Amino acid sequence: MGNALPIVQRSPGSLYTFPDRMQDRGGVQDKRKELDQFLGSVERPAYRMAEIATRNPDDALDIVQDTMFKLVDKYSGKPPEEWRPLFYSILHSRITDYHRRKTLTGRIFSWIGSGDEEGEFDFGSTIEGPLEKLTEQLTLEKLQGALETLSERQQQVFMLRNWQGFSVAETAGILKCSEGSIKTHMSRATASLLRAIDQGNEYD
Amino acid sequence: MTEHNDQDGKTQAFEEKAKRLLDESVEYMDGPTAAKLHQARSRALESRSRSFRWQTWSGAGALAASVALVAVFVVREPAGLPVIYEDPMQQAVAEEMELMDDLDFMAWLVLEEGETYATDRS
Repeated sequence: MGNALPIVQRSPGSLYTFPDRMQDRGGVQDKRKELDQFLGSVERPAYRMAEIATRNPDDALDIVQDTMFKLVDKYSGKPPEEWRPLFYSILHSRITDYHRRKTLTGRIFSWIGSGDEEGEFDFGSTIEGPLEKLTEQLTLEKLQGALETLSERQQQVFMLRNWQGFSVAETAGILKCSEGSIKTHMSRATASLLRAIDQGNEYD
Repeated sequence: MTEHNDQDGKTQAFEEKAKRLLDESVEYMDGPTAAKLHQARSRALESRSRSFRWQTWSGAGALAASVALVAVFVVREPAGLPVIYEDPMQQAVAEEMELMDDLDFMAWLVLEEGETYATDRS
């Protein structure tokens, strides 16, 4: 008595019955809910990354929206555990496209060439005060200002590795570059950030 | 070596604080921006629903069109062919039947003539 029979049972010759359709509809709803939860969990960090990268809230919102559309349209059929790296891969591809377009239209940003060409960071020669003090005095405003001075690639690596907690291999996969390159960018990004914050403190 | 490790530890502390600050920045995001992001998410999900509905209806349409084609080209009986294209076997059978009819007629005629002749002789 416990289990009610389905309204229409599968007949031997039938391929697609009413319960199948109902199950599919339920599956679609589940998938939508799952996608909704996933996008809800990544939309804010993604927006913050895009905002720091573009320095423009409207452009950042467009980039995040495009990323959501692309993920839903092309990759929603992929297993949910693959969504996160795919989402960030699309996001950073969009951010790179944005910078390319900006460069093409002749706009020059202050972040261009801000750190990639520099050698390994030497803490002693660039930071005046102790690192503990620098960390202690760090505020969001200072951090955001310093992040904006990084090159596009350094920003991406720092955000993905340090903030989003992706491994070196995962970050390399998302940004489509070598693991060695990720390590170098991360090291330089941290060094550049410390230097930028330290220099900012001098003017406070 | 110890100095290097100490430096690494301090860098790690810096990175952890940076992460915490960024986490807080999204946790306490302003209302209008959060609302815009929510709308963007809803639009993206709605596009998927529309796409699914379109695919479903287009699938149904394609199925209906296929059924109609089958009805037109397969189920419908072929029109009668012109006489010149009729089956030669059928034609032969028909001619034979005519001949059979003629033979009967001829046999009847012969019998009739035979009876008439016999009557005249008697």
